Amino acid sequence: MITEIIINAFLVSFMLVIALFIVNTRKVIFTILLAGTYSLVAALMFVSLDAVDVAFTEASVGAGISTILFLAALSFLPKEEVQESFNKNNIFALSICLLIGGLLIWASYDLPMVGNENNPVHQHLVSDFIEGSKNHIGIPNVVTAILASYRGYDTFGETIVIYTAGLAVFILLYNRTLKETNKSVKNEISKK
Amino acid sequence: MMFLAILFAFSVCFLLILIRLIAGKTTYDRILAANSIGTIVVLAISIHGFYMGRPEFIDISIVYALINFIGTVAVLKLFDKGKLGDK
Repeated sequence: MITEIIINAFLVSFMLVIALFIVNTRKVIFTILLAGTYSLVAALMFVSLDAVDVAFTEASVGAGISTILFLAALSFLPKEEVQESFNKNNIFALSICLLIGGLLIWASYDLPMVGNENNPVHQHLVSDFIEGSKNHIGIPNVVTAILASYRGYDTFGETIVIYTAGLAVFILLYNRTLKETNKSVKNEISKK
Repeated sequence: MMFLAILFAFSVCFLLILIRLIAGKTTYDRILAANSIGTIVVLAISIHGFYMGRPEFIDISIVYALINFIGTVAVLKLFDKGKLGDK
């Protein structure tokens, strides 16, 4: 128990150091490198918190895809970040941030303790899921049973939304490339 | 106990590499440091699995190793060609 807390505190302090340097760096490429490192450490912390599926997603999306997407976007951007001057509107925004953050921290004192087995979240449906999912559905993994059967319509809707979004992006990009190739073909014909 | 000692050694390595990542002289220093941090994370996940008594999750470290490799290749390609992709 104590060693777990020490490991997690160690990882969180690493993440804090990396985040501070992300804010301070002015070169965009270093920011991207540091952000990738940050999400790798975050994934390591998810593993140590026993949330392996979240760690999987964090590693593949946070450290993998988003780093490469940022790099691809970087080739269209200026390499150095412009130093912004400090203006007084920022103080107003900062005070609002601090106020709302303080309110949320104050509200969090009313929440039940993390990991307490008498919490309502552990009493309400979870015991039914754990006891019944194998008999109701026949899938040994509880998470899979919840995602694919108890919340099946929800997952189905999510999949449709993501599929539609991907299809829309593909159609937009496809039309643009089609027009460009048509233009270039017409130009070549008119030159001849 | 051995696994805990190994984890401690990894954390010391992590600290040294982090210093190199933040205060590296050239860009290539930093790229190498980011890659090494990925390697340390892969090793730490494997050792952490054995330390907690659940070594089933070693597959994740394989995924991490692959992602780390792809990321490093992308950064180096950006430096070599100045852009990613074909066009």
